[in-house]
Amino acid sequence: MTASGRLAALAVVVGGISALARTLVLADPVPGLAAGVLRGALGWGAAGLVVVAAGVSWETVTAREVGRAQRWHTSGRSTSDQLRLTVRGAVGRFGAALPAAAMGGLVATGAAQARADRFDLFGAGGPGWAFALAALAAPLFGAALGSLIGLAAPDRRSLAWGAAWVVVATVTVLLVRPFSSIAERASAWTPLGGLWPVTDGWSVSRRFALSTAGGTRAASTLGWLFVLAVAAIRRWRTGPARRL
Amino acid sequence: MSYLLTGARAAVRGRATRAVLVSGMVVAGTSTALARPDQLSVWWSPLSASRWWEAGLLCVGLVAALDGAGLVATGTTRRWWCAGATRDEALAWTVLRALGAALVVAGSWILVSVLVVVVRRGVPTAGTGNEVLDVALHFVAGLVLVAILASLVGAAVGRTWAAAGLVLAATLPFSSELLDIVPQPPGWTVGLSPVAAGRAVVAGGTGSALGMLDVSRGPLLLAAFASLGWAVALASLARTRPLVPVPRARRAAPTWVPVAAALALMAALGAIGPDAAASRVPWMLQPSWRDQRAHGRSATQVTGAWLRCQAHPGPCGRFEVTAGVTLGDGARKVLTRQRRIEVEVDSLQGAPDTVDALIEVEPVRSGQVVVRYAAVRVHLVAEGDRWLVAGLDGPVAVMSS
Repeated sequence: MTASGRLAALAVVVGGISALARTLVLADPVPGLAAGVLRGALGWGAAGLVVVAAGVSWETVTAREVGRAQRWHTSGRSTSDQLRLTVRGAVGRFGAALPAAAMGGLVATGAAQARADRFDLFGAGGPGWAFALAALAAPLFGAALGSLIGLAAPDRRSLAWGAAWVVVATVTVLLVRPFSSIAERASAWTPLGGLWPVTDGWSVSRRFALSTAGGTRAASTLGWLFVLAVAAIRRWRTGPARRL
Repeated sequence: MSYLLTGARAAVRGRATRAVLVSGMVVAGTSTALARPDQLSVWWSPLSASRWWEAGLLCVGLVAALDGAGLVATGTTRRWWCAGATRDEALAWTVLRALGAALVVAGSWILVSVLVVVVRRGVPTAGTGNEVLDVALHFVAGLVLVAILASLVGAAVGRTWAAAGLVLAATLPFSSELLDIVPQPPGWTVGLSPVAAGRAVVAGGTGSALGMLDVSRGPLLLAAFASLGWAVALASLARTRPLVPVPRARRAAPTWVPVAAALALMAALGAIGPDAAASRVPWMLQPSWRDQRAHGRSATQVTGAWLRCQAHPGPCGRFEVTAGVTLGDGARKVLTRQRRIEVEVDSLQGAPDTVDALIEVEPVRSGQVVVRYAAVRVHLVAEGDRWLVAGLDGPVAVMSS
């Protein structure tokens, strides 16, 4: 299975689930085909926060670990140039999978409509402006986040372990909230707490829904970004031989 | 005995098994440290709180599967056979080694959770003999059965990560977390997973997720047969699999293959998902309820408005059913003397047509007791797209001294 094939398959799945997310979680009516396509494409855009961040950070660390960054450095490419090329490549690959996501949305919506024995090309159920804006901003934010992580992580092993522990710590704290007031208060301040997407409107489960004020979420996200930025700057300052 | 000890050593020395060992200890320690005090008991904690038990069993299963598969993948089984052991002996040694590894994992997380309990609550008085024996038997039987079945999975698969993935896939669908958010499947479904079937045999009704599966005698027998069937099938597979790994040519599938598979998956999701999900969405997330909330017509909003309306002398008929609501003297007195109303939030409401509320009233002293709050329960009926008050239970005085 090629890397582009895997990415396209992931885009199809993300697009299909995004198109039917409100139907599956909130029992909303199946959206029209055009709305499903749009939801699929924008869902892939929103997933860009994770996909692009993972791609950029992994590429950056890999380049350093296998010696590509050092070779580029000796041929005169600065670190910022290398980062720019890495980001451009990752965003390009991400964007190339956009039609696959739209196709996923189309197929999922079409199958749901066929099951309901109806055909609705321009029906209701399209995405809102907030979702569209988030989908447009997410890949850019993901690129910035991936660059910071790529600079801060010493090697691929640490990156993989760090990412796994961040997810495990966040999910564990969220899951033990019913048993502990400490976990309840700490949940918004976990590494991914500020970005946790499940809110009261989407789930009634006390374990999964995080009802935290937007200000707290922003403060938590900015705080962790600050920590990440400090780590990245420290590594940058250690000199080209270490940071590349 | 030497195989048990070798397995125990392998659990501590392998990188993947060490990670599982540490994870189990972290989960057990964190859960116990954060748990409510009334949930803590040295004797019952590891069993009564399902998450610790389930997380611990998952760790045991993972380590056993990794060890069982590791012996095949590293050629140890083949060397045993070359040295004269039969396939049956090799399989028995594999299971014994996995058991040793599993016991180390289980012992470590049990020890951590018991230590945390002791630190938080002190050394407890000993329970009755039967109680402790019952817990210990459930505990050991569950651990051993899961370890055996998971090690057989590993020995049959022969690839470490594939074995770990299979054990994960066989365990997670039966975890409390998942069963909390999806409708509970029928009890017989535990037979589909070797690990869940093994747990069902020994852990029915002990506070694990299997208690939620209503594992009574019928499904329990079925789980026992399923465990036996899985054990026989997996052992047969492990005994007959080639000892020398067969090299497979690695060929990348064309790009369209995963895309086509994903499209087929999405078509299946579209065809099955909406119907399956429609009836499982909680009533407070259903479109009709959200629409009522948006327009101030949900049961909780109508209840709040009706209770506040009672403070004033004017009529409140627009919130009530046509026949009106009959209030007793006590209810009328409380409602007219209200200071503040706290209506239960949607997520804590048991049913859409019953809403609990707390009414703060002017303090009334009776001896040493001051009554500040009264609790009421309001019954509503849906008429068209709005809720109307049909009756009121209470008030019940909430005392504070």
